[in-house]
Amino acid sequence: MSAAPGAAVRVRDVHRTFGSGPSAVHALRGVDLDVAPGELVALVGRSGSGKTTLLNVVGGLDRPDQGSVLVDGVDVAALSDDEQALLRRDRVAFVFQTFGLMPVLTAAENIGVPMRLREAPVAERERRVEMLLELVGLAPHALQRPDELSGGQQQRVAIARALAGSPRLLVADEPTGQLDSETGLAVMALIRGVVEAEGMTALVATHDPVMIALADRAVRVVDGRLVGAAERG
Amino acid sequence: MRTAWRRSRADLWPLVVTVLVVALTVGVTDAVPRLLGDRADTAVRSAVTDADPAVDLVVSSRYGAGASDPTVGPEDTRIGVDDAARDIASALPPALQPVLGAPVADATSTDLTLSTPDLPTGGVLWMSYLWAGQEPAVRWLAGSAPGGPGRDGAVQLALSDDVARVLGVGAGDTFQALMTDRTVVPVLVTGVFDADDPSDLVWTARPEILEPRVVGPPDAPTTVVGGLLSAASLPAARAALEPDGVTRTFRFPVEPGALDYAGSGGLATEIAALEASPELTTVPGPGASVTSRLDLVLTQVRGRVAATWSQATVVLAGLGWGTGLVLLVGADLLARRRSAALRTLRARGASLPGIAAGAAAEAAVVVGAGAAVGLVLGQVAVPGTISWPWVAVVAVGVLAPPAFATVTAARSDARRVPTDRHHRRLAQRVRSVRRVSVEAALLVLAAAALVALRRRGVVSISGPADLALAAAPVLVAAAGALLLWRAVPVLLGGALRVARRSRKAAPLLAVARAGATGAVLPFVALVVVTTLVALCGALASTARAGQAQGSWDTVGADVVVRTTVPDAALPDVAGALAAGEGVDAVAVGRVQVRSELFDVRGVDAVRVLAVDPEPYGELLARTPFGSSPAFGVLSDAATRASTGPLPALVPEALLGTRPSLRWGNVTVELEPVGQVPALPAQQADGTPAGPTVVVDRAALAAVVQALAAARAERTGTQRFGTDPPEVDPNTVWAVGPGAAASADEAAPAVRGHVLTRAQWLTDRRDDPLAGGLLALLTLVAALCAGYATVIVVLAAAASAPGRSTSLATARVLGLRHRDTTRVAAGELLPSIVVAAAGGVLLGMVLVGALVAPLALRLVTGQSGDPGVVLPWWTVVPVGLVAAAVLVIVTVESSARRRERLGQVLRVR
Repeated sequence: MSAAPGAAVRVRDVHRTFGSGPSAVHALRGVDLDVAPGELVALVGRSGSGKTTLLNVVGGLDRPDQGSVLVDGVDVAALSDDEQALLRRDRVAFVFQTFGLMPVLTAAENIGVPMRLREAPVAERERRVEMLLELVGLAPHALQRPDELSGGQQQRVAIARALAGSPRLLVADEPTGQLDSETGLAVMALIRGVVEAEGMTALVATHDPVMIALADRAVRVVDGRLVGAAERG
Repeated sequence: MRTAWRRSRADLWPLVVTVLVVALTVGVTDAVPRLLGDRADTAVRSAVTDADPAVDLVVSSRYGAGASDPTVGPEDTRIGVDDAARDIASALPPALQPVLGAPVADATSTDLTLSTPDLPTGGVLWMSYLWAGQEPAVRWLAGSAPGGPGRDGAVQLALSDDVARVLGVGAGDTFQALMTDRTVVPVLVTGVFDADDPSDLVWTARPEILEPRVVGPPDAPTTVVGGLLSAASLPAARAALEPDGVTRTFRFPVEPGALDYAGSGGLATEIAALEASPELTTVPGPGASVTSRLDLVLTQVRGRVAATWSQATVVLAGLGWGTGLVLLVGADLLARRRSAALRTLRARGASLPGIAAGAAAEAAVVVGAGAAVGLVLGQVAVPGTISWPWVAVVAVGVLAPPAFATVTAARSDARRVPTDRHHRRLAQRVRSVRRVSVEAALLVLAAAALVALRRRGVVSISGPADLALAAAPVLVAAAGALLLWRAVPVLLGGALRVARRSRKAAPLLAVARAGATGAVLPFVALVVVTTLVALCGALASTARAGQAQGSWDTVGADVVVRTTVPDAALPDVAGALAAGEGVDAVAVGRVQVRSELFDVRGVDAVRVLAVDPEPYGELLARTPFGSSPAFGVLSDAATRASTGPLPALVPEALLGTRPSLRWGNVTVELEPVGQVPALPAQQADGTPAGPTVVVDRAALAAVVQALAAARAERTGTQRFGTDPPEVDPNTVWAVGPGAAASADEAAPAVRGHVLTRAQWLTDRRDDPLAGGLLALLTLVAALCAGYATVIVVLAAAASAPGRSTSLATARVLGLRHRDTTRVAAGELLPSIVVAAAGGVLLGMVLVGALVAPLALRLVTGQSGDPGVVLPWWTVVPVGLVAAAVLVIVTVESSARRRERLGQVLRVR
């Protein structure tokens, strides 16, 4: 397995089918995609077009039936479950439409989970969490639990948590899907900002034209295939 | 209908669990009352069968003075026995007649003394006329049946062959018998016979007619014999024994098979009424009396039955409450699993009563099926009429699901949260006050129930057990559970602080989830059922250990040989026993109960053990009473003492005093030299022995002898003999595996009564009431242990969705699969283990509080309450629920492997 020169993510001829027989759903049909380091790529398409499946395959949350997925030069599909977990812990971070926060932990504790998974020193973890809370503007809310925060605040916590482990790749699935337009804009700006500031690569599935406009590149997904660049703002 | 079926199928396993739980509890609560009813009948019959002496109803009266005339025809006299027996039988109360057998009547003389050539030392003669529907059938070996009085006025009498041999007389011989006033009664032996059937009940009235009996000490035996009168010779006997020398006795044997528990109370009342008013029996003649031990035996056994009922009621009430809580937890789980569907139904306009009705219909089918299965199981186990204690459990099973479903559906309605902060706080305070009030009320109720139980006891012989008192253990467990529940956040808070300082994610995730997902209902339910497991298990162990201790307290060794009167030959028996195979230690001594004690306050009577200290100490050292240096101290002191105060081991309260002991006709001053060690605490009949004084038997003999000599000198009377008979032993104890067999061989030499500890224990454990209660305790402990597991499974299932989402999030962030199992276990274990451990602890505490109120001594056969025994396996519930958690997290882990992480966090 060798990294494609210049590509942070390289997807080749990836197929993914759910179910079998007449009721089988072909979510991905021979997808090819290259994402350069530091690039923010928006995946655009209707619901059920295969965006989330592609993100899951790239992020190691799902396995393709066929084809290869290289993330930072590592063949994700060839990894065992535990190796995929390590990949997610060390190199890939996720932001979900539903935020994916743990309701029993405070905002600061949620942000610190990735560093805890890497067993980072306590002092280092606390410094980084503090810095990230400042970054996303939630320092005063550090000890509040998710259900005490607004949707935008929760998503900002999720973004801070995604950055905590200094990942190489950020995978975001409809990060503004449950936010009002104003809050969504702020979140998108935040993502754009941290991607640039941290020098990470980002793959974002979205319907939001503002987010598409903020992306370096937008790719349209139709019926499990990439059909070229999407129109941007 | 189809929707309801689909919904039920989707939740099949909780419904099946409900069916099983209901079936088991209904089966037990239906069968146990019947079983106890059967056991009660058996207990009544056994008590009557085993009663010694027998519980026959005995009606007696004298013929009366001055009415006897030897010329009166035999018919007149005979009518006084035969027809009187028939009249009494027909005059008995209707309730008594079915349980009494045909009467055995006799007309017997007072004690007459006689001396014959072969019995020069004399004996006692009873002359009896016997009748049991007819005179006893005999075969004449010589002579013929007695007839009317001869010319010389001699009473004609027949003797059995054995009696004739002992007396050395034959048919045609005469001898003289003396009345107590030395009046001579001439007797003519008309015939010698053998009984056609020696086992005929008629002979039980006077067995000495067939077999002479020897009583009294070996050095002065008295032979008691009986002679048989006939209807023809009875008038002459009456005339010879004027005035009033013949008594008629009508003995009605009790038929144990005709007795049952239900009728026993009425019988006891009828017997008591007859004893109070003998004239009701229509018995003729003066001095009529009715005696029977039947009322006493029935009252005693009814007390034991009532105690067992009460004890069983406590256990069954616990099982019922525990089952109710399990069903509540199950109903809560169903409502949680269906919350989305219920909200949808509500959103579509379904009314709350409609939702409740649907849930109730499903619950009725499920619980009805369980109850039906339970009733079948109950009938298979103990056939009979259905009993109804299980109805309460079924009601909870039917009503709980609609209640939870309605509450869940109602929550989907828009909540009216006050917009004003002050109002919100007020509402919060109102909720807190309401919750605290409910909890405080439960605490007060539990405390009151426990205090009432401790003071009054749950055992009632006058009626059914008080259900409120019977629920006391469960109330205490529930109250303890609530207190424990309030302590859990404190414990988890401490753990959370440690987890926060950790570098790792798993402890934080586990503890945070544990603190957030625990629910009070399964927690309380788990505490209650584990309390019941520990309580029932420990009660059963306490009872079994108490029975063993009771056997030691009553017998005092592996075997004891007792004689009715002190017997100087007992040391020989002890010697023979000691030489027996498998006999480890033997001791001989004199046991004297209720000897008067003077010159001390608080103790006026003691049991005196006059033993050889060293052998007795060695014997006790081989029993649970253990060795004690006190016997060595006593032995040394006794050796030094001569005729002064008698060294004695005394109760602690008597140390430092100078008590005096009444022994026979002398008063012995005691010198306490130590405290009485642990000793057998009961008499042979199970009554408490009371305070005990131990003395050296030889020293006691010396002191008694010296005191008697001194008194003789003072009074100038002459003493006979050198060995004061008052100190002869009456008991031999032996321990060792072969002791019982050796005692059986040695005891006949002194006509001693042999009691083995093994037999006592077997009798106690085979007792239908005690055995039934122990079996019930064990069964309920096992059931509750199973229910504890069920609660854990249901509680884990209720929190499974939240746990699954949380772990999926953690896995997305990089938590490895194997670590998810640890996090899940860490989430579930704390509150479950705390609940189970708390329940076990509560159970252990409750055992100590309940042994006396439950009157467990009636099960153990001890005079006092048994000591609490806490077997190691009372903590098994903790291990059981922990193992259940590990199985659950393993199963969940296996399911997570098939989970598609990408789908978990999607919007649904």
